[in-house]
Amino acid sequence: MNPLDGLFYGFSVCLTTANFLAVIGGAIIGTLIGILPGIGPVGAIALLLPITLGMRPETALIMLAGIYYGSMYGGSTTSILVNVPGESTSVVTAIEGYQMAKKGRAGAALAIAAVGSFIAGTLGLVLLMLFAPMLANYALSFGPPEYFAIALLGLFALSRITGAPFWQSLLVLGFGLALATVGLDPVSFVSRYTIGIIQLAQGIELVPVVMGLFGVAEVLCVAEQAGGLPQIVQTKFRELFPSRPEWRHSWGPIFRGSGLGFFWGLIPGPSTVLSTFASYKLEKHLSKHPEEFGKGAIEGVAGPESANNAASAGAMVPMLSLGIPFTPGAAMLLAALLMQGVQTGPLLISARPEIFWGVVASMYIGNAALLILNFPLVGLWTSILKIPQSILLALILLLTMVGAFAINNSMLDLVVLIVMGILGYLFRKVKFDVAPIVVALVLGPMLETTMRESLYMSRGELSIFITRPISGTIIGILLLFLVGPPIWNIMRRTNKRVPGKAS
Amino acid sequence: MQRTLLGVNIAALLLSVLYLVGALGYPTGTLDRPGPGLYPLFNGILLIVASIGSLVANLVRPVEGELHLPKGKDLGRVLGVTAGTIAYVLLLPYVGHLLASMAVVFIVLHTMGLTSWPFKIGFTIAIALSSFYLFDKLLNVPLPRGIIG
Repeated sequence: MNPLDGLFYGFSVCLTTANFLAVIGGAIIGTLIGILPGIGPVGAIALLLPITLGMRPETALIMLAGIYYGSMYGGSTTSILVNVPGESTSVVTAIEGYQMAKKGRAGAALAIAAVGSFIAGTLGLVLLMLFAPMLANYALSFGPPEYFAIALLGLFALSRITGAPFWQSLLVLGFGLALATVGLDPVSFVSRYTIGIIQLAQGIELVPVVMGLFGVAEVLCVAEQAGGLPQIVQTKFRELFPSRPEWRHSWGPIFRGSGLGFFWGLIPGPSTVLSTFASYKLEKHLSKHPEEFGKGAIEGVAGPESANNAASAGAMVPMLSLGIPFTPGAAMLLAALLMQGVQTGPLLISARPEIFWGVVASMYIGNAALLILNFPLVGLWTSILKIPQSILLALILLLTMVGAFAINNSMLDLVVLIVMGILGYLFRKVKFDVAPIVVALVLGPMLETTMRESLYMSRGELSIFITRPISGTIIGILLLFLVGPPIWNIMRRTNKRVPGKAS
Repeated sequence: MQRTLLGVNIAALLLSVLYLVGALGYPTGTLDRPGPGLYPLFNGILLIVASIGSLVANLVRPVEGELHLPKGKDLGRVLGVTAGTIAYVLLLPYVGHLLASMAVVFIVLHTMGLTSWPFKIGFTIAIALSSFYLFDKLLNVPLPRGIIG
């Protein structure tokens, strides 16, 4: 199926009543989640996973994807109006957006953020449509060594890119991989690390871990800070139109942010967040007036807001075409498919076109719906922040606990939720990034299975991972990731010490 | 912060050693016939290397800044919310979802400083009933009924 035929087929899938409602519902829930400081998109997807079990796979994924990219839109609203980023991808937007709001240009910032997000989301989709089937076709020739190498690259690159110290990230990653080994081993079904608890034989569920690390931990952080109600900058509908110079200054950052964001999305790690910082830096570097950055430069809203939306589309490429998630959000979407019994991997696009093309088409509709929703409903969205914190926290906590229990009706999942919640809170206190745990928990079983299959294939020859061209190349890139930065640092330090070279 | 991080790293190292010891308890097999213990063995080594690396990195380049641990009322709220979640888990099998959720909602509302008793009771009942209706009735998630049947 060529991309155009696929897209038309996708529209026919997602314009059914159930799927259309799923698009709109997902986009609205996503916006809401993005606005509320708390659960975040990963926690929200985890929370709604049990609800989607009764849906068709494509409907479930359409709704969850809507939450994923909807939250990118929602986060910008509170960043600009309240200086409170609803989630981490909007932190950069708050820098310039809030300054613009203080100057009475909140409407323009919101409009540019919404239009930029729409354009970037749409461009990201075009690239997703082109890249994902191509990669999936190519991946049909992959065997266990290639999958092992990709998973390993994803995990180790993640620990290099998160921004946290390398050893610390590696430790968190190892913790996630260790959690994934609890239960029956995936090849010979031997029970491991179950410490005599029979229920642990089924392994540690992803959903309570994610909801604990992201949802409960965030609730505990908000409970600790317990501030008053935020001061919201009021915006009128007629103020939502940017001036001609504002438009002129925004087009470049929007398109640059879209391209940059998409390719960041392909890289393992918290790509949506990092793409916003990269775009902000790029725009500041390219600007003729870099001194205006930090004082309300519209380029600092247009670029990062476009980048995070394009990155969320980019992150879908490895997830949909290889069945390998590189970001926690993509890991949750993959978990949703696995829970539906869908066989993920390179055959997904050809074997289940309704899922791939349905999701792609739904994202076009969702992006348009979000643009419409974000303009006139700004007042409504921000008024949600006026709900007393105590009620919001009670609601979020209860929903999180019922959601975790509902997956398997298991008390053990509730215990895991609370333990992970406390652990997540403590991790935040010592500034450990928890994102690698989620990706490691999803990729762990795959890493083990492919490692053992590869060793069976090669009769115990470890060289199988480097003698095959694709896996060898990937392992080479992995080594570059691991040893490149320290070597670069040593070289830089040596250069500084030699006076002649310092200049 | 520095001391806490050192403590965290030492705890992580001990746990990593425990994990590795656990891994040695499973058959590792051979490279051509890997057993269920081989992968945990590699992972255990990774954990130990990462713990030592993190420990050494902290010693060589101490982390600046203070650890902001909650105190007083802030700590009270964190403990209160945690107590609410634990209360839900302990009560759920015996009294069912409706009463257990009332307990957690009430504890959170009280801990977070909602002072008016009528509001506290009203919101507790409203939120608990809404969650029961949403999950049990609308989404057909079988929730424990406990003593209320």
